[in-house]
Amino acid sequence: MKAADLIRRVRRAAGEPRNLPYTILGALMLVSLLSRLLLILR
Amino acid sequence: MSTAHPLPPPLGPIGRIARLVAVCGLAYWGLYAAVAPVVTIDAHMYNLARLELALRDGFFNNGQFTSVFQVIFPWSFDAVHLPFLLLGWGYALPSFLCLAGTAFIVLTMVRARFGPDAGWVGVASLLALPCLVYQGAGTKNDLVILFTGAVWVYARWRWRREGGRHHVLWMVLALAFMAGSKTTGLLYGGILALWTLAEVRGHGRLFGQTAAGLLTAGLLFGSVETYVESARLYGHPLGPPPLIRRLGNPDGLRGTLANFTRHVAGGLYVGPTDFSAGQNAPNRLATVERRLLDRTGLTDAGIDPRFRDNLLFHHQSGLEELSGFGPVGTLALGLMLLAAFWWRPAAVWWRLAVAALAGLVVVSATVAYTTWGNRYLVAWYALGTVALVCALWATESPGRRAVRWLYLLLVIAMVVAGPLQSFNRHPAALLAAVRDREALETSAYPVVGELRNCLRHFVRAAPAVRIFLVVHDESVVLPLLDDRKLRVLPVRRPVLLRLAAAGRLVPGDLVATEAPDDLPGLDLIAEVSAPGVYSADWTITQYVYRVTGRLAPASPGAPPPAPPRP
Repeated sequence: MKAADLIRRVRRAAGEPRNLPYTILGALMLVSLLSRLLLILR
Repeated sequence: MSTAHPLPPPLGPIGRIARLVAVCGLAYWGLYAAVAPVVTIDAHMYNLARLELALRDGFFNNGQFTSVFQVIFPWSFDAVHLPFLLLGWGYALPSFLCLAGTAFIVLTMVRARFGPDAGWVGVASLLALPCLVYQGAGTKNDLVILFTGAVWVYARWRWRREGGRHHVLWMVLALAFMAGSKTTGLLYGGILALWTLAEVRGHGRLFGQTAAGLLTAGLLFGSVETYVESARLYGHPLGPPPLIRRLGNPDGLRGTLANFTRHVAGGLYVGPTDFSAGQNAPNRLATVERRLLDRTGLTDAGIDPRFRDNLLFHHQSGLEELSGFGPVGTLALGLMLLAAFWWRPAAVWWRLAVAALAGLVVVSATVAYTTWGNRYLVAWYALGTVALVCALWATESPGRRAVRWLYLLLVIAMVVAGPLQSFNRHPAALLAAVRDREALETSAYPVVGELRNCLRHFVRAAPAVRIFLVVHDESVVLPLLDDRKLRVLPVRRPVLLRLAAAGRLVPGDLVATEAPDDLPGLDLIAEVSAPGVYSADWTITQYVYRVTGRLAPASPGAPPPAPPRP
């Protein structure tokens, strides 16, 4: 599957109301990972 | 797996009222989370303070960390707060998102099984638990355990109903984040990881993929770096062994039984408490509990060594560390205990109540009891409360419907009482968050606000002055570190003495300390005091000294330490 297709599918799935918990968890985890990388690599 | 589901019944009057209460409650806590500063003492000590210090000096080999807790505790959820720390607003939004996500899951799953009325009463019921909503509008890492557990349950439920391997992926991710967010999350996550593998056994490649996913996600999100650094610094991945012993239940089965009875007593709501003398019902409750522990030979078993059962008291004070789960929590606890004696495995409420009771026992067995340990029970009281709602909707009868209305009245009372009884999350705090933000920020530890104002006064006269803040493991530091105009350098006292011996402290430097210091070369220039909020008799004082000369003779052979970078 191409990256663009994957991103489109993820964005569509994230917009479905029943996937709200997944969207919240995904956002928290993404911010967490980026923040930890920033702080660890300083 | 079935994918055809009948349409749910329409929302009735009880559901409409519950929905209004739930939406208003969530709106209030969402607004608070968006505008409030960091008010939690633990966040000022280590949860968020370490982010500020890691921004200065990284995570590994950080010479500026002020507390062992900044190293040893998993920080995957704490790290989410970094953008908000830089922004200066919205600090509690991560926890609020966990609360909102959990509410959504409860609504969806309870509605699917028992109808929309039960779903909305379930959501409102969660908001009637004071400890839960205070954590949901705070900056600790307890709501995330509830939320990731709820996501795991939700993903498992959807996988069983709809199929789709992506639901198994979310089960895996939820557990990895749970394990990386809190030390107790490692235990719960481990148990649920085994359950996840049991769920997918017999599904061919999915089993192997799930196992690989758990390992990979665990490495990425499991806060591995805190275990690595703890092992390097303290010889153990969980931290210094004496500290691990202090934080855990040291007395095995005796400690488990004793802690369980303390938690049960703490779950019996007999009214709000304050720190005045002559509180009858709470005092009687504590006395009965102490006598029970004494008669069974369990006094002081399982307890944190800093506490004693002769001082046992169950607070319902409105402070986030010292609030329980209110009367709704008492009903939930009652149902959990009933489930231990009434065998009804076919009933949804029974299975949830037994799971919640098992969680209570796990906490009793693993965590040393402290007066402020209610937040460890948040997930189990939430589960027990959902069990309560399921029990109320298990069958239909006129009597059952009447009881539901009475229950909803109690829920409404507690949803309203939660903010009103809160120490620093009441409606006036919303205003204070804008008009007197710094006072709200330090409301739980006022002396640090007084110290900050005092230091600003001296910095105005000498903007480049360095401030050596003498710290220990439980020093409140974030309000000082956050002030960019203060050049605060946190140091332990031995390090301060070595810096002084090496001539690294120059006249004009300031030293702030909690204990009076009689070192020659230090001139006391200010003393600030403020009452502690945990006891009417407790006053905390901070001392500010100016360096006027050489502080102490050099220790022969000791290499001079580098001063911490501002």
